Amino acid sequence: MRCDEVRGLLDDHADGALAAPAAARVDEHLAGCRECSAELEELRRLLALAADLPHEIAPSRDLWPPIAARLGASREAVRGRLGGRWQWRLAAAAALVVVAGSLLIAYSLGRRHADVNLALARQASPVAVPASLGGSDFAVAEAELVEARDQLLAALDDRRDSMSPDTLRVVDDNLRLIDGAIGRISAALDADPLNPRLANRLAGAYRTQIELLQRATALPAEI
Amino acid sequence: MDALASTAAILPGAIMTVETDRDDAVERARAGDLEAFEELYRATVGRVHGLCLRMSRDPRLAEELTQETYILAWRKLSSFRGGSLFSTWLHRIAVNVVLGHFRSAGRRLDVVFGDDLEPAAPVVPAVTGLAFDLERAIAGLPAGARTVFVLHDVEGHTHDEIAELTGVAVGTSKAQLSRARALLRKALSP
Repeated sequence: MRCDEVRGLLDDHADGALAAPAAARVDEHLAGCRECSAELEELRRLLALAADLPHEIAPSRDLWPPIAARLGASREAVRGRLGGRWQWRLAAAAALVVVAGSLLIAYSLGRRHADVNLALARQASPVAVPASLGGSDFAVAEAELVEARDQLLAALDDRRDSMSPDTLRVVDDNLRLIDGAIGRISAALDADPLNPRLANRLAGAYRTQIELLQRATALPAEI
Repeated sequence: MDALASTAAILPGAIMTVETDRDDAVERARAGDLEAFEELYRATVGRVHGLCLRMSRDPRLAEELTQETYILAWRKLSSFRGGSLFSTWLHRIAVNVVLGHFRSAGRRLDVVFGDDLEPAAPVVPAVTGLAFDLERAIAGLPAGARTVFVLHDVEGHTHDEIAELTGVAVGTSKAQLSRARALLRKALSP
């Protein structure tokens, strides 16, 4: 074998991924080629160094409190997964969506009696948030919306066996993306709690997620 | 192979004890016990964060991705059937969370970004010597090469697993690994 052929196989050789006849031919070449042998040794040193890197790296701060804060709101809903049927949870969640959604949208849009309107919730232009609506009002509305969301999640979990893997993958991917957005907007709101644009975006993210869940839980059985 | 699984081949009794304890916590967490889930978090966060940190090379983003991993794991606990180790299941969630972030940011792992390492600070401050140099070089790898190197040579995944996790072809995974190793050897050479 030529050197360039052998070097193209060194990664597989070092990984033990070559078939026996090919490995034997490479070994035969290495026995007579100092340069290729040195290449392999250098590669093996790299792999040994990589294998010795620490697998566990503690974060610089305890991440449990923010995780627990986000999970805490869903605790009761998760306990509720153990019994009952998804239909009644769906009905309860739907009621909560209307109530909490109205509150949150009203807050973010500066109207106490806003219709639950997804288009409005997602509108791009910033809308002033009245200073008279304190942070606790917003927190209550958000918590109720989170509870509604979690009840819908529980309903979705109950239906997972009747949904195709492809559908579930799409739903889960989108839920995760929206979760990420909610997390980032929430963090920004923590730093700037009276920012109306952020409140509006948070309301829109929750509404988008709930709309997705409502559609997913309403899908006909696929299996 | 998952590092925990590979260790289990050496110390099966010890690992089985750990995983049996963890199974109990998993069952309690599935029943909605947040304290049990915290036990699982405490036992696994170093591994999850290490993966997120190396793959993202951004300490703040890594902490965010770590949180997202546990939020998603809690949500998906009902779908964990116990057929695999909890740590393995969680590891896959973490990989998907990180890759999902890359995808949402419009990055494709199979894109070749250039021939040189990007200047980067090491993301793991605790290591010294050659390991420190290697961490810095890994952080400087192009995204696709870095992802495959971390998953294959640090975390122990096979190319088939990487292909399944990332959605790239096995051949692409192999090419990215070869490229990563060549860049790292060049970076570490005197």
